[in-house]
Amino acid sequence: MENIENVNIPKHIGIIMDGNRKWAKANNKNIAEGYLRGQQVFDEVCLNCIEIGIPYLTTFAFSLENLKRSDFEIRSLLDLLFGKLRDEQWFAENNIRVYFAGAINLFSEHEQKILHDLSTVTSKCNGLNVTIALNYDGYDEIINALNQIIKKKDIIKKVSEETIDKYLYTSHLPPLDLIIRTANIQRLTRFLLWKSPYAECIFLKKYWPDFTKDDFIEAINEYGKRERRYGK
Amino acid sequence: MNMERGKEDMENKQVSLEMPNHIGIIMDGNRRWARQNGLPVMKGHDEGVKVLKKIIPKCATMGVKFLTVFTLSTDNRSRNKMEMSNLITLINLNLNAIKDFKKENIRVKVIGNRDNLSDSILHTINKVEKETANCTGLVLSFVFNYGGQDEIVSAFNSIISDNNLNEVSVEIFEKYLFSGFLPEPELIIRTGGDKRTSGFLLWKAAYSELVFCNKFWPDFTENDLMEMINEYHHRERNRGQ
Repeated sequence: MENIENVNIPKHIGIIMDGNRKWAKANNKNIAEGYLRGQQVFDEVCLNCIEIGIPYLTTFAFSLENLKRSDFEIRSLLDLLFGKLRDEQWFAENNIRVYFAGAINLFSEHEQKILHDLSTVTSKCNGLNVTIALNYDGYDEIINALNQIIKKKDIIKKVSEETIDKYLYTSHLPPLDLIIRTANIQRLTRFLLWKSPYAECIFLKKYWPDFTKDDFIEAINEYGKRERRYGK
Repeated sequence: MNMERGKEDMENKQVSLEMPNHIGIIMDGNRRWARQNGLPVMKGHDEGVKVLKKIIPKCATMGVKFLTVFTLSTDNRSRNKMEMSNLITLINLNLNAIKDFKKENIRVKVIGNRDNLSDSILHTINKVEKETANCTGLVLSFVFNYGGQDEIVSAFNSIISDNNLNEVSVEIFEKYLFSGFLPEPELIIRTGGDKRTSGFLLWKAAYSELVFCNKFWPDFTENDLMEMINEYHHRERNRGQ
């Protein structure tokens, strides 16, 4: 196994976990199995973050765009996801604090309660902050912030970057240092739009279910070698 | 899977492939190119302009409708002051080539924050935009004094100071962006080896294919541009559906 070579560890990593369906197809498995394997890889990456000492991990679990998929597929993905999110013990035992980012109000009350409960139960955990982007869209996040601010325009006459940040689904997060995207898709697709301007991008050919700890460590080492000038 | 598609594309000799309607380029590496060649920094910027002058007509003849280039970000302001003023002069001179733009039927736009710009720069910008407004060929946009978050902050402030707006949609919001008139770029190219977007067209480029090139901008050629466009053609456009 590879080792972490550098001291320049990213504080906030975002992962767009693509390729579960393609993996299933390529391996003659059904889609649900692809998602299941993908979720297991997510679990492992959470533990890797704790081991390496990365404080913030954000993953793109379910976008507003995904809602366009077939009902059956959405259901199979969401059942699995909520199954995982009901497992409060796993998160608590591993000292993982869970946040959600996105249009959570589109879920049923029952589902919203699961999310709320998990956030509450893990609110004292401090080993890793995991943010799960659910029903998330970077445009929606900003327009939603704007409309909240418009309602307060008697008090808020002028906004700064800091003001906007407070009204985002991701207000609790520092800027993204590193974005990893699998399955050879080289776009950002509005993932954490506001937080992403200076993120280093690493695109991998592998499908998400094939992503390993070695891949993760290699990505972090690659990040450490890059020169970040912030326009200077 | 992508490889197979790539092969198919090659066999079809790209006849059926569409050109991106809008290409964005982050022209990075002028300073590093100069340093590497033991030359003054301004020489790097001079060479960069020469390359741009080749890339513009190439895009126009290939049928690209919009070309947007990243010249300077708000963050660049922290760079050495002398170099900055030289760079602004260079851009100024470049924009003054109005006659050439008109001859080539190129419409020039400048995207970015105009609040802190000097009168002489504002004058140049207004002049070139006005005089090329009726050109119907390539729309060439210089992203100037621009930051991706700053663009969104400015739009927010315009909207909240308008008392008639109580609920805003994506469509309305976009009208308030510096880049509001542009379609979304299908392809973003960054030279200089860095693999990040630095907030370039933060809102509009959200779905763009990103292609990174290790060459410094002064070494970039028309052939490199063709290679980047080929790469774009090979990419699968799977939009989460």
